[in-house]
Amino acid sequence: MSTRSLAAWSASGLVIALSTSNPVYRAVVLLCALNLLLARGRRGSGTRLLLVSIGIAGLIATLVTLLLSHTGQHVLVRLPAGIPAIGGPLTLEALAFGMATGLGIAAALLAVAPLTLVSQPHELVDALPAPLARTGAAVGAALNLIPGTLRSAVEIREAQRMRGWRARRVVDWPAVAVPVVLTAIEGSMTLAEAMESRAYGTGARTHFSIQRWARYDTVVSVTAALGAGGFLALVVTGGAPGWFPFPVLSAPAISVPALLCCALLVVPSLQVRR
Amino acid sequence: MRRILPRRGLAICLLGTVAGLAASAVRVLPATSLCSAATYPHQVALVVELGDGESVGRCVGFNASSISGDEVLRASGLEYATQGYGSLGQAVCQVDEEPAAYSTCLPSSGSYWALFTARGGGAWQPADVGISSVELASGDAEGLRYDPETGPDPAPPSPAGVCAATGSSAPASGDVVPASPGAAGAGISPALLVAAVVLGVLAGLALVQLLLRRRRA
Repeated sequence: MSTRSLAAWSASGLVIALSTSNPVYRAVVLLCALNLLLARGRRGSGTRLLLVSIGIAGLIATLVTLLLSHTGQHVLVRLPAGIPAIGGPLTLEALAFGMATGLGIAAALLAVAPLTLVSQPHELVDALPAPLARTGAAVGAALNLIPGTLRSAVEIREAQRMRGWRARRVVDWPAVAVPVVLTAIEGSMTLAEAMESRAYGTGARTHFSIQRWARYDTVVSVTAALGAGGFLALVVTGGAPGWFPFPVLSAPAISVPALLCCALLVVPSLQVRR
Repeated sequence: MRRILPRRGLAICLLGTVAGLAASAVRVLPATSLCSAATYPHQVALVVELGDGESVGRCVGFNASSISGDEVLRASGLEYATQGYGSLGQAVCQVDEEPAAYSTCLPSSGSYWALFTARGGGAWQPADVGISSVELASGDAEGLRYDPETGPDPAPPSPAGVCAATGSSAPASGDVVPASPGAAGAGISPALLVAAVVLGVLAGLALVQLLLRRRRA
């Protein structure tokens, strides 16, 4: 599957997830993204870690809304009013709104996750338009320096500790910060020289393997664009109502055309890898 | 391109669909029945003027000496939504699904719900606080008008007669017990059924993908 069609799919999923407050549509986007990750995600790409992280983020969003929003008619429990911020009634409506918020966060994150969990980093750079290829490569290389710099900081701090260094005051920190910065600069210079020795910037980027745009990529891109465009049109014209559970919890209104627009995102999951 | 859809996957899809339908059955629960306003010692009239000019009148009965504006709206059984505006209380954003969708409760330009009160049979007065901060006594009236913010700015129709007809054929409500909006006479709507099927099929498909992924490993 081409990375460009995957990017079009991710953009469509993100547009739908962020343009509605209706948890039903968000749930459809989330399930479509989950299907895509399970069907086409690379092994060892950290899918499980991402899912756990998203679960924790959703849980935090739910708890924060439940504890801080004291609006709603159905009171689950009352915390003493003396407790700052969270004191007061905790309501069923706040819990539902928090869960819907968490669902929105999860849907948005899962919509863009295939860009890193399905595609290889070099495929992402290849997918960029030609004018952005060099910038993309430079930004990608710079981002790759972050984990290296973090590792370097840990190593330098441990080495300094072995020499008796202790972080007691702010003025003690340059003993670690200066070597870390120097190491990062040195790493950047080494990377630049390595890229230059490989003729980076002298011509168009060469490829070990070229991604082919298959007919299925056209199907994926067109259905994703139709889904997002149709959904946005329905939102603008009031055909895809949002959802607001306050003051009394009610079931979200569902528009079948909007639902079908969201369901179009399942198309890339239907192609089974051979 | 070869596509795989094993029987086990179909069974899981069906299970997911059934689970979705079971979850949607929550909406089939009967709504709280509302008593007639005539059985209560105090009454407040509610007049709602929709965007198309149609007016809806409700008479709300209550036992206490006063009732808040949002309790009146809630007891009326009309669908509505509000949003908090700090010390002013809750503003009305939506009544009877109008507007069908909104991003801002009180937009800087465009239609919004204007709130009025009439004390003791007097004339309509624009409210200077949110609906949750309005306190109404017996004989008062609460009015809501979907104001287009352009052209004339009339008050809602007169509340006279709204509560007088309660004992006969008026659409009476009378309890301040919260009633879920839209729950009266609810059943499984076709849209809800489609949503349950779509979510069930997608959940089933995810399980199939998980099984296939493990088998490939």
